[in-house]
Parts: sequence; structure tokens; C-alpha cells
Amino acid sequence: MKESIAVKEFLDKEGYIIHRIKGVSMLPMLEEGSDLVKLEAVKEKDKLKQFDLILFEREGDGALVLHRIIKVKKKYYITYGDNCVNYEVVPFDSVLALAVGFYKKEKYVSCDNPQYLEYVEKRCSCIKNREIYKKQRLEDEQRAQHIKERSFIRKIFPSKRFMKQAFPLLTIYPVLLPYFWFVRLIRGIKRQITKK
Amino acid sequence: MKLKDVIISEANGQKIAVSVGGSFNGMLKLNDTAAFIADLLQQETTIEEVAQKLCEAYETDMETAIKSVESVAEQFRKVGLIEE
Repeated sequence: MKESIAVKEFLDKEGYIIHRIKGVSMLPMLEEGSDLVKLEAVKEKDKLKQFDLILFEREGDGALVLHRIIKVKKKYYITYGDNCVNYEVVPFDSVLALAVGFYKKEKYVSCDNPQYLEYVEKRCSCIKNREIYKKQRLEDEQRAQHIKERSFIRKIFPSKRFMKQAFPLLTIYPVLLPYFWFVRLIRGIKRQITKK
Repeated sequence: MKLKDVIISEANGQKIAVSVGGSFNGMLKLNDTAAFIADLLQQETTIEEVAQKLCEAYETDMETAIKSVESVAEQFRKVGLIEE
């Protein structure tokens, strides 16, 4: 938080800042421990373009985040870190600065550099893949959760076929299935109590 | 003695020293003399060697040059940017 205030004050006073990188969200472009980014304060916060790299203040914790604009909307930007699958919604007012260049292992690269622009094009063309991957991961997690829940329910209420083996009377009177579930549950609880 | 994980950059005509690692998160603004000294400190060197080059560049005496180098090195040392 203190660092956020110091950075904002410096940007207000000097109009620029050169800052080190923290975290992994902008890999492979920017690496913690070896790279720096050069930022200039932004006056017209609603005039930035797609693929601009911006510094903004995150809602909630006030942390400063350096991510790339992927979509420009009427009142906000959608941003992604180059190494992220989740996006942020950034209101125009939250934007503090625009990256104009960076030091990649002590070598300065301007954001107008053709090789950099080529990297941006390639990196951003696979945003769709990142969204698909994220959706797939979410579906996998939901499926795993569903299986976990089903296993728990199956333990308490086993299938008719299983119950028929334990309670042969069910073969003749299948309607008694709920009764025998209850009987099995009580027996199970008694067994647990006896063990202790 | 040399600077550790420091990049000397320039913005708005001002030379700046920024650390890429370690615990120091800030920037150090450098005047011309400090920038000259910082550039030399990017390689392994001694105070006397840097002072010698400062004398040649700025036509000053050795004693003043050594004091300047020590003063700049001390500022870097305070924020943990000097490797002895």
C-alpha cells in the first residue's frame, strides 16, 4: 500500500517512473529480478488503445498492476497479464500510467520496437486459447466436485443392485429400499460407536 | 566494489539508478557526477580507480574526487546496492 502511494506521488510529480517487476503475470515479456518497466503518467485515461500496457490500481486492495489492454469498452478496459488466464475489468479512472519501454536484462526496448509489436501480436492472438483453457479447467473442477458429491451420496444411499445383495428381501419387495437404506445407516452408526 | 543488480536509465533528461532485485524498491536520481561514477561502478573497480577517471574527466584534484566517489558509493551502500 505504501509503495502504491509512493509510486502514484512520484508519477504525479515527475510524470514518469521506472520500476522493477514483481510477480509472474507478465512473463515471458517481463521477469522479476532482471527487468524494469518505464512508465509515463496518463492524462487522457479513456484514450488508450488495445494492447497498450498499463499500470492501474486494482479495486479492493489498491495494489498496482501492470497488464495489457485486450478490449476497450465504453467505460472500462478489459486487461490480461501476458501469463494470465483471468482478466480484469479496469475503469478508466483506475489507470495511472502507460508503459513506453522496458529493460529486458539491461537492454532497453521501446514499446514502438517492431520485434516487441510482433511479440504482442503473437501473444494476444492466443487469448482465445487461454479462455478455452480456463473454461476447460473450470469444467474439470466442476466434474471432479460432482463426482466427489456423487460418491458421498452413493455411500449413504447405495444402488438397488448393491442393496439387493445385502438385503435379499428387496428382490421380492423392491419398494422397501428406503427402509433398508435406513437400516444400513443405523447399523453403520452403531458399528462406529462400538469401535470407539 | 561494484553496483549490484542496478540499471542506469534516463528519463526526461534525468539519469536514474534503479534496482532490479534486492530489497530496495525505489529509484535514485543522479546528477552528472553521480551518473559518471555510477557508470564506472557497473564494473568491478576500486574507489581510487574511479577517482582517477573522475579527475581526468572533470579536471579536479584526487582528494576531492575520492570524497565524491566515497559519498556516492555510500548512498548506494545505504540501500544495499553495492557489492564489496
